[in-house]
Amino acid sequence: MNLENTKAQMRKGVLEFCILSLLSNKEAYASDLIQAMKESKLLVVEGTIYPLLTRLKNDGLLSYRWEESTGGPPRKYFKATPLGEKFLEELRITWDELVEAVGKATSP
Amino acid sequence: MKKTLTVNISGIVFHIDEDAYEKLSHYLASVRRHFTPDDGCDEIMSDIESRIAETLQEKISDSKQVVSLKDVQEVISQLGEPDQIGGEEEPAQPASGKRIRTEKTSRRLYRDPDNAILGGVAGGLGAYFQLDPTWVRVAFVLFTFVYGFGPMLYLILWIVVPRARTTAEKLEMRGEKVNISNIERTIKEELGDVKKNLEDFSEEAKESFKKKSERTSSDGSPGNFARFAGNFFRVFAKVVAVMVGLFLMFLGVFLLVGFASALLGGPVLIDSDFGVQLFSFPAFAEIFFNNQTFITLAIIGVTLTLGIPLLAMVYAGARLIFGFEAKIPYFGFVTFMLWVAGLGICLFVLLSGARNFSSQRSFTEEIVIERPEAGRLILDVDEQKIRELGISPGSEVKAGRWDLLWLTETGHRNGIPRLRVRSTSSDEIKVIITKESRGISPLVAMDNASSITYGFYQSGNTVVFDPFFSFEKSDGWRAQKVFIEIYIPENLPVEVTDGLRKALDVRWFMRHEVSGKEPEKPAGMLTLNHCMPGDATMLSRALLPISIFKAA
Repeated sequence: MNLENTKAQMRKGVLEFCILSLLSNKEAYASDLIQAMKESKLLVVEGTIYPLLTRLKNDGLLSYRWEESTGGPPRKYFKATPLGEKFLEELRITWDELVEAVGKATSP
Repeated sequence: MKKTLTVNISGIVFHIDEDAYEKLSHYLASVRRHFTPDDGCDEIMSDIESRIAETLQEKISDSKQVVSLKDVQEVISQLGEPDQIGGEEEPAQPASGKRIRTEKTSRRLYRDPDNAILGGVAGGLGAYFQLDPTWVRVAFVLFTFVYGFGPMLYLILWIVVPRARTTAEKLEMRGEKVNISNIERTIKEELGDVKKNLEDFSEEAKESFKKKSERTSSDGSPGNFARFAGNFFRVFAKVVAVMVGLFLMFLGVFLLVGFASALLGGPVLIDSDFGVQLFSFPAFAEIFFNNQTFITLAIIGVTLTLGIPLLAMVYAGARLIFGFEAKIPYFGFVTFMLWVAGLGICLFVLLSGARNFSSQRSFTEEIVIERPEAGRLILDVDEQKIRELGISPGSEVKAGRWDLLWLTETGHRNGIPRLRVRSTSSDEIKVIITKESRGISPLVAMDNASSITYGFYQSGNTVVFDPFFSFEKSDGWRAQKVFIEIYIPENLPVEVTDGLRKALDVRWFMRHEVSGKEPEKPAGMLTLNHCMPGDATMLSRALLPISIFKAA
């Protein structure tokens, strides 16, 4: 078990949660998400986000609409669906519990 | 100076260096391989492409209009390597409990240079079928005992299967397991394409129908239907191709084995060892040619003209199944030229062989034999000589007339003489023997005819005929024939034994009322009933050997 691998695993687990949070009540397209996640160092390579977005969309948690952009290719603006919001709420509860539990377990 | 290409990425036009294009398209292909249609492969790819377009656009300016290899490398490092993209997703999969991901790289048959004893064929096959190469080697060795099947197959594979040179090819060689679930998955993918295209088609058909209702113009739908039909056909064609490939390969190898065993055959034309009838081509050629050069030429010619199509058949079959291509320059051309050369040799040999039959000569000998004092004349066959050839007397010897040509253990070839029984008004019993042969010239034909050996002898009132005529094996077969005519006085009853009828080609030609009547069924006895037997004087045992008749 190496450190990088463990870090990557940890990041992956929360990626879904973060994307849903970012898209809750707010529209964004992939590059916005990448920007936000890169700033918070959650994303190492950009490519990872695309399969994840497609899967969330296919599971009905996200919806998107096309928007023309000036000069660039048309953009897909994603937004959480009502189901996505519900899902996010569940995740948030779990996350809070987890943070609390981890805080207890790892504090000296 | 560098060559550039124009590409369309997500609807944006880019000028791109050739090397950068290679890199990018290879990258996209390998990313695509990490996803299956279930993942929404096409969607992910188009998202990634539009991100690439966006990023590349940032790198382009008026002073720098062309996408370079460096730009592409930067984009790739930003987006991540294919296994990073596909890999990071993975832990989410078992949780969603939908599907277990399988590697999408398909396995190809290569020769394995890292695991080679000879050409790496066994190593490659081992990698392909996920077996220890040692077992493959053992199988090859075992197949050697089945008519040399093993080494031949090995050679064929060595020639037609490409060597794994690059790391990518080596990985491809060890790629995907060939098992039922993967075959199922492959077909599912193909069907997924078909389904998607069908959906596209129906959607676009709807659209174009809408358009049509507005104004009578349509486009797109014929192309889409063609695409759908094309995809459907592709799945079907793949299944058929593998089946045809298997058939071709098995038939080809089977025929090659038979062919090789015929070419390497021994001196016996049809050898019934191992419970299989083995035909020997050299022995067959020996019948027509008494010159070893021609026999060798015939073997070479036949090897090329028949062997090359058979090899091509196995190669075509293997290609259909494994989908590889031999990368040997001028392979097809050289093979074709060899085949043409083989055909030429065959033609030459055939024509030379035909010349051996251009002249015909025959000669005739007349012998008067003694008339039995009493009783009838019996015509019999020398059964001892039938036994000498290993044929049981009483069997239909003449039915095997062609087999006889090939029984050469005695150094001779044999043939069945024809016997004609005719009646005569004279009192003498007369035997006329005609020997006939063909040859390259009248002289040779005469020589061949004269070296035919045939004889009969008289014992009491029985005339005993040799069952076969024979000629030297070295003379070759030149359509040698022997006709025997025996003239029976009209008042002499005559009997043909069953053995003689079965051995020789006997015909009756009688001028009186019984003329034309074939011998009676069981005993073969025929009495010229208007004639009575003459007085009974015992004949001393007379032996009339008819030895070799030499032409004057």
